[in-house]
Amino acid sequence: MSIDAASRAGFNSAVTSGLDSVSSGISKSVEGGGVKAEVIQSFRAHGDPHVSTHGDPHVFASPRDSAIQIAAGGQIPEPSKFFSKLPADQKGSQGVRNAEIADKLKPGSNLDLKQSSADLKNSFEQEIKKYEEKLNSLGDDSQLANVDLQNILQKQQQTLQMMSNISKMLYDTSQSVIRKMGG
Amino acid sequence: MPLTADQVAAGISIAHSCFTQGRLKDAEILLEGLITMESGNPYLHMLLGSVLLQQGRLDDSVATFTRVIEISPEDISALTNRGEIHLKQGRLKEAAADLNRSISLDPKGEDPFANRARLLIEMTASLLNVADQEGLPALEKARQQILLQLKQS
Repeated sequence: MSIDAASRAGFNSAVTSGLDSVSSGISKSVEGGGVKAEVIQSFRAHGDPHVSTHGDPHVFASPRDSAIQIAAGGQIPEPSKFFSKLPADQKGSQGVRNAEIADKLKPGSNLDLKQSSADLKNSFEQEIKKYEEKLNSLGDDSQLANVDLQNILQKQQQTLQMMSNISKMLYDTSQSVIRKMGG
Repeated sequence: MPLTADQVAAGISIAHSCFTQGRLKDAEILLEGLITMESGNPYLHMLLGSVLLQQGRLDDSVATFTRVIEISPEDISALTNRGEIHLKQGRLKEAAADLNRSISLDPKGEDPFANRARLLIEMTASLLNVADQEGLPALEKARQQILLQLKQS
């Protein structure tokens, strides 16, 4: 079956990166004292017609079906696709429903990135203030709690700095667009 | 004050953009901060896991994908990614558990991440056979032959 160039490139990339992982793992295991029979058994090939090798590793070099999509190594789903597959009413820590997030992430949504990132920055500022007050109110005998709080505070402060830079960048970009439209 | 859907979406969009642009440290900082506010959001941990993986921080990446699986036990992409890291690090038993679980969640063979798990299982099964019967030098030879055939195809 013929296969288009893009699918071929994707397949080759998936196989190459996969081969690196497999070779590395097997080498480490063998060098570490051999591979137990039950482990070998747990990798018993499934006989999946799409990727089955029938015992011949060289078959990996020839994709048999251009319709098969194989994720690249380290790849993760696009955000909008990920959230659209989660249960719609399931909520995150802050009580926001997955369906609402999926809606905002889909292409063509009404998400105002500039305003929302500015709002997010404000939320971080408020949260940092809250943690700073909590830290100040804790006595010296709560050292463990202090370490955890300080850790959270440090992460939030770094993120706030990042959000400030991003907000400025988004503002500058929008000003540049406005100037070009006016000119 | 709780974050709104717009704020969560904005945070994710920006972190994802940083990631795709290769600004891994920026993505990491953003995600670490967002996770302090939204620790139950599996995608934040997923994206962080991928950022750490790209930085070569495999142990941290495994821990982060583990967190995704704790929140969403049937997440195929997290299972495949964690399984592959286990594989890279020579933890074949753990790798088999994750990759087989990933495959079992996609009986129709439609999910690209489950297909990657299938590919990894098949490759490992074949090459384990080679290593077991002929030793490590034969494994490297088989690897080179596959790469050569890929180049020539």
